[in-house]
Amino acid sequence: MIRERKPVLYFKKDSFIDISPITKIIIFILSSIIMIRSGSLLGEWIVGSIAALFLLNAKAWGWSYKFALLFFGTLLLEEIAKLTGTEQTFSLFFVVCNVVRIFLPTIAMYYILAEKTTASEYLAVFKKLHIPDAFAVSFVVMLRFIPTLREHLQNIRKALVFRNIRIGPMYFMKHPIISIERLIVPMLISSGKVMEELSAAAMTRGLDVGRKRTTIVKFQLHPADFLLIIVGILTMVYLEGGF
Amino acid sequence: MKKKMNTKDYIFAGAFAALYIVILLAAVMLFGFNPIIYLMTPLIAGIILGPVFILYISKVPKKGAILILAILTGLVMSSYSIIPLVIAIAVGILAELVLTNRKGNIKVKNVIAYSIFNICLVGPFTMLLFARDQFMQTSADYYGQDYVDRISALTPDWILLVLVGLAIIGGLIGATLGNKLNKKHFEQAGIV
Repeated sequence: MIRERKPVLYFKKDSFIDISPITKIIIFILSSIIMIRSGSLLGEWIVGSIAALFLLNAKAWGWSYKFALLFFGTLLLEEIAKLTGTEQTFSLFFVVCNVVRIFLPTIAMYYILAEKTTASEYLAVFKKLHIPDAFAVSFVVMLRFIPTLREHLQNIRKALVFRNIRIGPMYFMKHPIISIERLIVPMLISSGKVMEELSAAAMTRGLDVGRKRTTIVKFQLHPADFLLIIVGILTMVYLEGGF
Repeated sequence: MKKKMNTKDYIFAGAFAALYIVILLAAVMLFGFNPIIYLMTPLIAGIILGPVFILYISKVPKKGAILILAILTGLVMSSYSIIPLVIAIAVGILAELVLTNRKGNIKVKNVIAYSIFNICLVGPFTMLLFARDQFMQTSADYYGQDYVDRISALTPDWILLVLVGLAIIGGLIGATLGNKLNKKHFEQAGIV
């Protein structure tokens, strides 16, 4: 007799509503496409508010305040400037704002994908969708590794500044080979060490056993997921067809 | 050398894909504001990324390694349309074919494989051919009309061929540089 067992392990909930990683990925793609393709105001408002809601949901308070201030603040400023007719005077400022605003939702959604979603959630989704391990493991590692690498790059540049070497476009044009050697080689060596540690950690977690793996995190789509996906696709269709 | 990849190799693949993408994005951000240099991206980024690729394929000398890197980078580059992903996968398979037999002069084979793989950097530029108006509209929103005028003067339809050529040249230089750096730094440090 096999009795239905209730799950014994509970995970600390990091967010108010559980949203599956697949929804996050879809919204990430849709929001970057909408922001890049259409300069329409409505799309910006919808994408911005969805990203802000995601940040609030993930309890990333600092991020959500900054995001809301930057995104909606610049939008409002532009509206005010249009109303008062001072748009031309500050046109350069608004161009900069535009560029920043286009990439903000993408960055915010990326932050949620990389920092606020656990690796086991991703693996559960990929397992359910029958995506091979080769892609699943490397995709998760890639998502997690990019923030680490940005830190490494900043540290290396700081270390070079100590030696009075400032690598920018001009320096690169003058000494291309040397600047590659000075930036890329330390990065490769330091990240090589991190990679060794990561694979050792994976071995201890039993990723390498070669058997079929089971997951403890269950993958389900909740009503909130369907709602978000439908809103995203409708916005996309409306903006692509209507404007 | 035809062993299957294991989990350790998948981790290496993901990490190197992250390296590839971060360096690519940094290069594009540094050089993207000047139209001429922006069009030279396949050459410049190809040279910078050469050492990364060479270290990757000498660290994970197995079947399928290049294909995973190609899929991951293609996914990141295909924010406009699906075409960059298709190009990246095709190029990845071609590079795999070059490196199926790793006997003989491995360095020359690495150079050939990388100069083929580097064509995937042309992917985002296919927009100039298939969605020209939209590209110009987007650039006008970002950088202003002046930038668009200069870009459209610089890009007739045959520019893609030039870009592919630049990518191949960049790949040749980058891979040669990568081989040298590999010998100078990584083999001595015992990383490979």
